[in-house]
Amino acid sequence: MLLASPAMLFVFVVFVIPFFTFAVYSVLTSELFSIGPPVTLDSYRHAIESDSVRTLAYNAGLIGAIVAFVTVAAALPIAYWLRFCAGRWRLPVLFLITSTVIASYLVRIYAWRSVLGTHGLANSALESLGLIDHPLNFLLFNRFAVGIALVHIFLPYVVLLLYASFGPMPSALLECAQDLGAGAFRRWTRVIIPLMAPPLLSSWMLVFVLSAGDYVTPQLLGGTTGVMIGVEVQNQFKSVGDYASGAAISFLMLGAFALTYALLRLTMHFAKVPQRIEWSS
Amino acid sequence: MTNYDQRVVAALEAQSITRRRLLKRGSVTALALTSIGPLLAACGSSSPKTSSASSGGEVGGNLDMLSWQGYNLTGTGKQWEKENGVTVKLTPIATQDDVQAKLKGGATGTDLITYYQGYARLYEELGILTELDPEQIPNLSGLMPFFGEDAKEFWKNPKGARIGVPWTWGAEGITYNTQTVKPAPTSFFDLLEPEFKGRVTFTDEPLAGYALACVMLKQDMGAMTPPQFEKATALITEMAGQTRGLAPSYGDVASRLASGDADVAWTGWTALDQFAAEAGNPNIKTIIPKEGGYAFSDAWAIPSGADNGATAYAWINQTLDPKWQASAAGELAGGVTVEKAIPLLSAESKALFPYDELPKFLEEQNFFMIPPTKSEKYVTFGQMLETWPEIRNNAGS
Repeated sequence: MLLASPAMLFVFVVFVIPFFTFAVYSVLTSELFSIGPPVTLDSYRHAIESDSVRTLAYNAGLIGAIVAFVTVAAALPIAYWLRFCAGRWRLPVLFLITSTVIASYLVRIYAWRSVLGTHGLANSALESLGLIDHPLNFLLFNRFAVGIALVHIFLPYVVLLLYASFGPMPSALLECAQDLGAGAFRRWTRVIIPLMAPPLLSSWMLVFVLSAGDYVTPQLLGGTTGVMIGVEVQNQFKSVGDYASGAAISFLMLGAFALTYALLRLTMHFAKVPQRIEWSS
Repeated sequence: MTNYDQRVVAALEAQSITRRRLLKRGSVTALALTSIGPLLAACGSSSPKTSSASSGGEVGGNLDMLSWQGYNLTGTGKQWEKENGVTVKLTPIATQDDVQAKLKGGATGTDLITYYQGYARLYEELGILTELDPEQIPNLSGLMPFFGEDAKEFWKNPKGARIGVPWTWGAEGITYNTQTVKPAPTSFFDLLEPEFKGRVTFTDEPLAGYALACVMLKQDMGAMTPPQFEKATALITEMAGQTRGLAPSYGDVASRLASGDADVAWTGWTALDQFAAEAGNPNIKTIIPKEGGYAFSDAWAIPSGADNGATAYAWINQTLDPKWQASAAGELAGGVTVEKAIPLLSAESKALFPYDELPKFLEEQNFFMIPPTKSEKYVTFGQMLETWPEIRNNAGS
């Protein structure tokens, strides 16, 4: 207990207190850059009734869910290959994957601008191949651009998570399945994915929450259709000075995330997916 | 050891505070501030509470500045910093709203800010501004009449006390790519034509959007009636429909123009020409359309809570030096506020504005005050800010 107290104090200061402060903010009354009594739930009511908030929340949910699915789907075969097939390439490839994390978040976003832009790499390549006459404008400033950048940003983290989860899985298990006549597709659908379900769903949830809450990428790549709810929270705090509304929207999103998590756990329960896998040595 | 360090050591010795006690006290205070600071910072009345900026102490140490990128004058001011033992620490802002968001959100220790002239009453109401001592800024006497006389009380409060020092200005017009936009637009209304669909961009900033809409509709942004506000909102919404999304900052506007992702900026700005050229596209030019431009002047101010007032005063005074003014105008692609700086301007800086007939030009420009924070007759600043997300989020839909 004594050993854990510094860490607990840290968590208390950087998590519990801001959380409590935000909760209090959300039920107070805001004026321009000030907040105080009376206590009211008006900010929640305004947020729920606002078409704009609903649109942005829908964008956040949709983009977050798709990004999380694509990221996990792309990371799974990479992690599998690293664990069972990479051999001497394992460390160099792991290094390459993790090295992309070193680049600044903003640099990676702007890199996608230069790839997907009107005169960017993608359009230039298609034009030089003679496949298009005019630049494709739909590549940038929309949900697709936000999605592709977010997948790029979160992919290395999920690869590492899944690689670590594959770690204790005995390769004999897959050899047994093969010996019993299971082809590659059957091994994936009947052995690997069911066994990896808990880390897959955890990874999905992690990427979903981080993507849906992002507010920088949508501003730089989102254009008119890819703006997400985080931008509105920032706007309430920074421009409008309505701290109560900003906090209320944040708590509503937190509620939505908690509900999504609860639904996932329920699905796992009814689908009889194990909550964790303990490998016997 | 700098003068500032010496002052800190002297203060510690005078109070017999040991390092251990200082750390202990500091950690307890930090914990307390982390816990309740933001809550207390946000809770409070919005009544005016302008205090006086302290000019005590010596010049030196850190000058914590909260302002636009480049306003720390890394080219012009380096030698002065060295000679005076000053380190200018800039926290850059993306929009003017960052200033009140940070200061009212609990940020402390800021010595110097800049404000767009229209924010004067708001910042007074929020208790951000302090009254300045003109005797500490002798170079104030060199201001051009437009800036010195201050007929609209942008830089003095209604009591006549100085609250800001206008040191640079600029004009917003239409910034466009001369290679892809032919013929050049001559009116803001040209950008609403179908040929510009998807080619326009503008900043995600209510102030600039409503100011330009008011220029187009010949309204006063500071005194908009509800019907006028509705017209302005409809116009901005229509303009937003011409974009592929709003840009989060002027830097991003320049980036979009330079890369060809946008051909024309409604919230154009003379400095964007330079920013885009630095980003590799020399074909970006700004023109003032026939409706006239929307002008801004940024003023230095010392916020309440500043802990290095002497250095802030020294910096403000120095930026009104004619040589500094001319050099800064080149560095920022802006205008000068000091008469004697005009002959010192480079040819490029002089070409930005009609300096030969500057008084007339400045009178014709629209230097707005933002809407009032409380009014029964006019639309308030809060209403304007609350409407903006609807415009942004529905752009192009």
